[in-house]
Amino acid sequence: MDKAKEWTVRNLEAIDVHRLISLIVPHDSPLSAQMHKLIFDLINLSPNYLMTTLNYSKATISTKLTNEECDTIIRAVKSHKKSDIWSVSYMLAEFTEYYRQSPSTDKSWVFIGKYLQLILLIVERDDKHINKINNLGVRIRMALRTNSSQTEIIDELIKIHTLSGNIYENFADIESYEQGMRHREQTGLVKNINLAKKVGEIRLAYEVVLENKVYIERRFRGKGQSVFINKTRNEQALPFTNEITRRIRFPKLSSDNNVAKPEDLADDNPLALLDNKYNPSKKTAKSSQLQQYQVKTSYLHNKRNQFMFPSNTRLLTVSDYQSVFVKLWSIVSDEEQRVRRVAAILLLSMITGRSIQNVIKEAATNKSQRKFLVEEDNGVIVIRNTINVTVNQRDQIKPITKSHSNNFSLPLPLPLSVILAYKFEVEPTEITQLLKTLRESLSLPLLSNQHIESALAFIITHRISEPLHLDIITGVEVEHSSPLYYTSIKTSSLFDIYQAAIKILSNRCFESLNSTNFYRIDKAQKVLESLNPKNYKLWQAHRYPYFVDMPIVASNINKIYIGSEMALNDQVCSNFFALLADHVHADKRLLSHGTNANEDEYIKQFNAYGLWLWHVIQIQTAIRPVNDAPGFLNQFNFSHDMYWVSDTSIRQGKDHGRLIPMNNFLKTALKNYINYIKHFASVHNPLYPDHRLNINKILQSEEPFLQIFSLNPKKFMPITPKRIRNTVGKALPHQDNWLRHQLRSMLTNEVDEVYVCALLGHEYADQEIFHPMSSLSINQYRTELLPPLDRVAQKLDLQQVEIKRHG
Amino acid sequence: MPKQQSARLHSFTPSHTTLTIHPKASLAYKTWLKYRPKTSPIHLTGLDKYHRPLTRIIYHDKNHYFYFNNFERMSNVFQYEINISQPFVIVIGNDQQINKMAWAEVLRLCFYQNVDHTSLWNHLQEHCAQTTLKELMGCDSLFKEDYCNFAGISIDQYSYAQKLSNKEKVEFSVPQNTDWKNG
Repeated sequence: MDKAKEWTVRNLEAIDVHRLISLIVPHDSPLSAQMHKLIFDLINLSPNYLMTTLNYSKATISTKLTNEECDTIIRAVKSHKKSDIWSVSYMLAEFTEYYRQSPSTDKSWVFIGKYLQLILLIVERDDKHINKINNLGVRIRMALRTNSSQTEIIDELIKIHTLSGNIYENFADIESYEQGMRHREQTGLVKNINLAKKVGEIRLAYEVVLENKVYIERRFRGKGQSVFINKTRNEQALPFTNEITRRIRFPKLSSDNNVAKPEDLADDNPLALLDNKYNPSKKTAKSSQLQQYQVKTSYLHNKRNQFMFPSNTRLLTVSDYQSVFVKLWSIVSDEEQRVRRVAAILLLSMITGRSIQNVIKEAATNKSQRKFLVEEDNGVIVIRNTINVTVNQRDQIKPITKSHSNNFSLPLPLPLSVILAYKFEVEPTEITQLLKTLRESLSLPLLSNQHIESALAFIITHRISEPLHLDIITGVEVEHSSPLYYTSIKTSSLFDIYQAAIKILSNRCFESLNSTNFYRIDKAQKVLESLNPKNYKLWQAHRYPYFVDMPIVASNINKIYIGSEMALNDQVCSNFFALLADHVHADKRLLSHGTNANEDEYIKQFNAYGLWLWHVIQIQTAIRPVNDAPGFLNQFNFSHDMYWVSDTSIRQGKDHGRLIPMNNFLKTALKNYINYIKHFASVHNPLYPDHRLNINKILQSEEPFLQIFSLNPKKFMPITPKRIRNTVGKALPHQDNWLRHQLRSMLTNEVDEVYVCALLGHEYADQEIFHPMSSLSINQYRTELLPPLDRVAQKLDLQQVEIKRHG
Repeated sequence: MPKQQSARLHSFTPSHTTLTIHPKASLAYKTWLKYRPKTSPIHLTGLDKYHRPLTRIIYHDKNHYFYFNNFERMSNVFQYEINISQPFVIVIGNDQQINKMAWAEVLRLCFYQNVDHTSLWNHLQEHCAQTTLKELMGCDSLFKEDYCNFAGISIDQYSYAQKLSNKEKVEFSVPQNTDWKNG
């Protein structure tokens, strides 16, 4: 170790010292004369430390401050609020108070003398470092507080200064103390109370004196003006639109909620993919469809493909698709293997709706590892479509759910399954080559792989109009199509739709005549004659059987419904409603009020009625089971049979939400209930003045409509899913929103998907029924939905509950 | 004090006046509420205030009066005739008298059909002073025979009802099992 550096002691004339002291102890400060003298004495306690007063050698403190003097100083500083300007006086007053008992030659007094020398040298610099003096004072003062966590600082400082008389060594000690403290704080060895930072302030002051540091001013932005504003900008600033775009507030996930998280989120919050490259011209941006800037790439494609504009180059006509299909089919049937495999890839993409990339990957993997072109137990290769639904792990529910599986299989035509029997790899260039051939031979200059991929989607959307079936058949991920979470659907309906789509796609395909008919020349002529397109029957007869009547897939046989595992059998659901209705005991003439609220049967009846009605509202409106659902009374409009609800935590507010038509059953149930609670309140409130039902507030829509009487605390509370769950308990341990699944499943295939999605709030952005640009009338929405909702009530055999005033 | 000043006729609309049950009568009123018969209201809205039944009330403070009997009538008033002027007799109250009057109202319930006699009688014995009860019923003892005699039911009827009420508990909460699945 090298020898410690020697500090060249500053030699100052006494008059200079006095001048400096008067800078830190201004004349208007309290007891400035005494203080001045004290400081002068203190700094001379240890000459040759930092500075020496020339021709002065008296190294004792002549007069310490008395108790009263200290008090006076402290009170004056506090009352004048000048702890910053008079900080040295303040510090010394506190210090004297604390160390009064120790003799003036004690290490503590020596230390404070050295400390004051340091302060004076900072003052002598006459620059902005003078601000540090206040900090130095504060550090000592704080450390002197009783019970302060900073006491350790002054103890350490005194120790350091006793150990060595060399300023450099002291500085090194302080620095290592600071670093050690910082390390301990950061590693969690001690509780982090920012001691290191405070020691750092003192260390910095030493550093300033020792290394003669220049004050570096921190530059603040005055009046919000950036310091960078003077820079010339190279890039041009485009005026950003101030149109309001969609605001998405993420919900606070409540722990009360037992609905599966992805279901809750994806339900309403599709992944936002910013299409940054997309920059519409001003005119386009102002047009109706593209007003919003936050567009999502994948959905944009989706959206554009859903419109049948004649200019839409993303779509071919049906006949074009058909001719592509025929061409590919003939290649697959006749050509040599290499070409056949490439064509098979395109053909598979067409009939599965998967992307070509996916199909290539799938064909290149082992049969056992394939995802959607799988081999069944009996060796038949099928298209397997899996819906990624929320798993239901409640053992009691499992046997009574509608669907017992989340996948189903579609048959593959034989030539394709033969090709798929072995894995093979296809180069993308081969695909491009084949597409080029197709473009030329069919004179479809625009044909691209995108057209191939969207063929099935196009036919099911535009020819058959079944978007839900489309999503299931083409294996859309559930994250991109929230209805899939909720749907349990008849497998046969999917099958029918697929059959119909394939029929359309293969309309120009018929069995190769080469192999069947041309070997007898006499017949061939006849056949050719009858192959006139007008002879439809014969055309049909010669179509490949797969396209006309698909074979039954073994694994589908026991799957009547597939999809959501939450919806129950209609019969079981009906029984559940009967159970709830039964326990209201509406027919009982006389109940007992019991001796207190816990035994009051009228209150129990009130709760049972509320429970039943909550379930009825759920099954008839499919609202989400959020807290306080179904909201306030004024959300129900009985003259227009409409119910307004905003049931997501994401888009809350008055301008959001959706309208739900109210059918007769629901309306009657609500009206009965309103009459009932009026009467209930008239009986209940005088009896229990401490816990009243605020009937007026309910009727004035100031409190949620559906309430439940809770016994702990005793009062009426808005109904919550948690309460419902606890009340129903083991009778039906189920996910809170199971009735939403139930209704979704019961409406599927009963009414146009558009309306079902609108009812459940599952519409794609900007395609909402009540979108400002939508031309659909509310009345049509209502008339389309009311009959199926009525049918649901009938199917479940819902019975009204009505409590008569008297028997 | 002359009698004319202790009672005077007055009519006002209940919606503009605070009318509450007299504190001395509140226990009886609660009992009455619990055992009140479910009856259809007789609508008297068509009658004028000179013909509607009188109710006695007691002045409490500014625009605040107490009533202590005629519970059935008052409840109808509050429900259906709240905005119609009602005739009242304002009397100077006597706590004991009020208490008796209120319990008399409760005691009258035993003449209604479908009243839960056993529990009403238990309730009366528990909450009403014995002397009051004896005086109102006009008997010297308070056995259930006395009650049956007073209410005009046979002792068999009474014990039958007693057994019935012990056995039959209406269950409002859903049973905690899945037996309901099959209907």
